[in-house]
Amino acid sequence: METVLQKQYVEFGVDHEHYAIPISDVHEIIRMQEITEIPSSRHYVKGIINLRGKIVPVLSLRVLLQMEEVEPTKHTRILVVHHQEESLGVIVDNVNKVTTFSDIQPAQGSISGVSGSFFNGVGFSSSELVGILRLDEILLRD
Amino acid sequence: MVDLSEYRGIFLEELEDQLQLIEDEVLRLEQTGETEDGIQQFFRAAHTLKGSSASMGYNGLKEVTHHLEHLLHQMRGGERTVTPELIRLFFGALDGMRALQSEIAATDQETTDVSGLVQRLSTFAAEELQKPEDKAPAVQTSLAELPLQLFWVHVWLSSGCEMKLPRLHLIDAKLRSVAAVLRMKPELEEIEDHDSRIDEASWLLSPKIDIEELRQEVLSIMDVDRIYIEEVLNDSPRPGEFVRPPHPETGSRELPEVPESPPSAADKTKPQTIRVQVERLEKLMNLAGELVIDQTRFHLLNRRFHQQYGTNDLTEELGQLADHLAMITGELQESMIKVRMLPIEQLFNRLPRMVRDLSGSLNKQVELVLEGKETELDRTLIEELGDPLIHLLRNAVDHGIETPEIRRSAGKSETGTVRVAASHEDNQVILVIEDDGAGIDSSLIAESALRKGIITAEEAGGMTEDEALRLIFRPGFSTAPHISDISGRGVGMDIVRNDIERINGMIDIETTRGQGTRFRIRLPLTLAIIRGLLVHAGGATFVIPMSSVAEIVRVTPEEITSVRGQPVITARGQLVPVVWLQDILRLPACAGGRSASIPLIIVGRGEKRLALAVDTLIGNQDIVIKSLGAYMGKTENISGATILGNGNIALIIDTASLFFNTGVFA
Repeated sequence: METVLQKQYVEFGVDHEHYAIPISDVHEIIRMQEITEIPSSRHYVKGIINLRGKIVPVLSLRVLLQMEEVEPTKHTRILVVHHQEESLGVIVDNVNKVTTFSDIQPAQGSISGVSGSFFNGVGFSSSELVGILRLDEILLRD
Repeated sequence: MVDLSEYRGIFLEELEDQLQLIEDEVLRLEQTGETEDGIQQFFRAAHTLKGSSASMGYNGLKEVTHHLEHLLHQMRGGERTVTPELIRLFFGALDGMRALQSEIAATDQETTDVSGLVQRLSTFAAEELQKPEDKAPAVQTSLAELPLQLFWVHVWLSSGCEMKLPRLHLIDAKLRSVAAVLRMKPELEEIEDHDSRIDEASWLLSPKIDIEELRQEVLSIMDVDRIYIEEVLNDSPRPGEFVRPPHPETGSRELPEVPESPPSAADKTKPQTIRVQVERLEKLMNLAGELVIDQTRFHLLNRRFHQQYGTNDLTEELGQLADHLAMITGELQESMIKVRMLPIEQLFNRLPRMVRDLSGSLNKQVELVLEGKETELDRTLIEELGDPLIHLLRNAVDHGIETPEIRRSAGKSETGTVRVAASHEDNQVILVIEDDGAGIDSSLIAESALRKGIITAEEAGGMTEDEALRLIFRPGFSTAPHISDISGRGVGMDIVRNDIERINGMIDIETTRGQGTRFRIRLPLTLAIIRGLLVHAGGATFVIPMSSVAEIVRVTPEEITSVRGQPVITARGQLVPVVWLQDILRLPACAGGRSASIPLIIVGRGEKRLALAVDTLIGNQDIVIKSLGAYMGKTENISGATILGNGNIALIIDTASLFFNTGVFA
């Protein structure tokens, strides 16, 4: 896990919990914007946005992690990530910082009610525990 | 080892061209027998491939082409004539080469073992030849028989040319098709043995066409840098004594007859082509699409400026700029669409062989007539059209055309005809696949559908012939009494219909018992940009492709009546079910009462009509289709999205799935 220690992560919050994904997976972070709903799409798909002329599907991480949905606030952000050669937007409650972890432990069982298979590990930062998400795994859900 | 990977793309293109050429020649050989030109073409193609595959290190291909060349050499010399076994062998070789081709394209490795094929080729070639009665010296034309005009043609390849030897082969083939070549310096065979980096060659020839025409022909070949033509006059050196031509830039010899001129635009009457990678084109297409969107926004912005600041010098100038931008963008978009167009020939090329093999295995005699090969359509459409077209053709041969015995007893000629014709009609491409076979018995179809539980007895009773016929497009339907390995392997007409509708096309069927069946496919010219009708429904904006809009009407709520609980209107004497777009899409109903007149968009699919009620009509517009991406996958009722002038997104309605999901037509 030596290489993992050097990696930079984007740390964000969803429902009072802290999560992170590698910064290399994040294309950009944008503010909440108007989302065009797609009728009869999967429930975690909130719709599509126009990202400078490109159509990007936007998903709710809360729904993907089986949490309750909330109204967007001024802190709500969309993480635009690469997923299988496409751009996808993932809605999170807020984005905290870019960080590294001094220690990463493997995830066991579920973490705050979220299945352990969704985690690459748990990172220890200065004050709290951060769940490092396996976004590919989460996004593949049907 | 030199890294050849960058030449692989070029090689593969060449390979495809030459294999197609070989396929055409073999088919012609089988149908019309051998001709000197045909054999010559075939030989050249095999020879070119031998050279290029050897230089790329593809030994399997090299071996096959080498032996093919040997056989063809015997044919060319009149030592061997075409026989059915030979044709079979040629087809076998072609299949082997096609297999190698796809492996090279996919993995850069030849994995198929062609040693058996090579063995068969060489055994065949070694078999005793018929005694040549008089060996026609086809290529060794003597000087005396020729007309008087003789020329030395010197050709330089451009320095950027990446496959010089194959290029010289092409030039040689071209020259041999328009002239009697007496001599070539250096000989192609020599080049192979010595230096593959040669970049010039000379031919002594007597043209069958005007020498200027010949010059154009050669200049139109890719990678030809310069051509220099020198007439061999009576007092010129004997043709055998080759005189090196003066270099056009440094040379001093005056040549009055055919002065060398640099290839100017006016010089080249033939259309010139270059090969471009598809990704680059796609990128350009996307950029053009985005420019269209920006231009629309600019146009709106310009209007707002005029409203806000009135007419003054600045807004005037802005207005002019906006107009000009609109014009340029429009032209750019149109040109981009044209760039992506390919003749449907690409697709047609695959058909003759398929029909030949299929009719052979079914013991039927089928003549395939291809018309309108030059009809152009978007390259993505051509790709998407492949499967359904082949399926329809297979059906025509398998189920349509009868066996020779049945045909004879029905008073028809033993050979059935399948016609595939492409043409342009307005802004659409029409593709007709018709056969003169048995036709389809609509009552049998209805019976079969009833048996399979696709329809109820009640429905079957009330069906018109047309409706019954269209049952073949329903899922899970196959009329063949037994399942042949050709069609009816689960891939039915419903898949064909889905494929066609996915590319915004429509398919219709007509049949006459005992006389044949005709499928008619209507397609848009391009997939990237469509004409769409913008509407508001349930608080959002949607686009309905104009290609499926039959009619737009406005009705009062009183005009909508109800039949068995289903709202309907009467349009042109036909009862048309009415559905609210927002209801099908499960959107919240629009606030406020519905207005006195309701806009109805009547969309058609085959014979079916459906009236879509919307809140408001916005208008017609060319829209750039954007896919929702692989992650979204197939979405119900929505085929894609577009970005409007104001930056908002409008979803494009998939009318085909709409018909399916309304439940009205279940």
